[in-house]
Amino acid sequence: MEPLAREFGPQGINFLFVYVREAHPGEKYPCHESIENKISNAQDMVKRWNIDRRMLVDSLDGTVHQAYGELPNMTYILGVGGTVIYRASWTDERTIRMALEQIMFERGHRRNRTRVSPYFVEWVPQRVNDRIKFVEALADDAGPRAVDEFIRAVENTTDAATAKPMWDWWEQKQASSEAVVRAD
Amino acid sequence: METYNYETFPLDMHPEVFENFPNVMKAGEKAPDGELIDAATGESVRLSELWSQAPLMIEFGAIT
Repeated sequence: MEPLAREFGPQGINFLFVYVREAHPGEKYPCHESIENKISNAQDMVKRWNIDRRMLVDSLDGTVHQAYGELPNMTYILGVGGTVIYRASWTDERTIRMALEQIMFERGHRRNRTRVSPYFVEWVPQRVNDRIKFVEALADDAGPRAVDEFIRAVENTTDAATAKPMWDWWEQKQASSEAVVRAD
Repeated sequence: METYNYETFPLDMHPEVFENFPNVMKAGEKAPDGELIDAATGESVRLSELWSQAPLMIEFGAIT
């Protein structure tokens, strides 16, 4: 998202990150116990992922998060005055870029005094969802407990066959990290 | 009901939150205002201050 912010920020779009509850609490980042704890995790995230955007932290009980739908990785684009232009249940740079380019297109026409009128769209695009990559990131960012809990939830909400490649990857990963510990 | 800051990831992946997302608000409506804390300065900021002059793109998330 930082490249999009660097590209569209100078064109007059405000970019914001809102830090919410830990979606996958683990050994590295357990669930927040205090607002100080939540702010400190947000500061870690800025450093860890080199976030240039302004980082704001929601209240401990997630007031803003809940008002906007409570999903772990959602995105909104609001117009001047706070009208919802785009809302997505998942942060997907492809469609965000399309929405931002559309805003620039509209702005160009308004500047040329071309008449523009709003219309309404609903859309259910598909995103790439690589679950092995996802659990790899969870192992790094959250810790082993979060990986176990996520694969168990996948198994519970789908079936054993869907979860199996994830369990296989996880067993291999744990075996190789034990080998590293023994070599140390 | 589970608490907002759950200690363990819900085994059912809280499907009700995902199912309800389309009904929370509609495009074209005004988004709710709210107060947040700037992680760098500790100052309190209202969303309405941030959308008063320019369009605002908001990504929600956490490290985990």
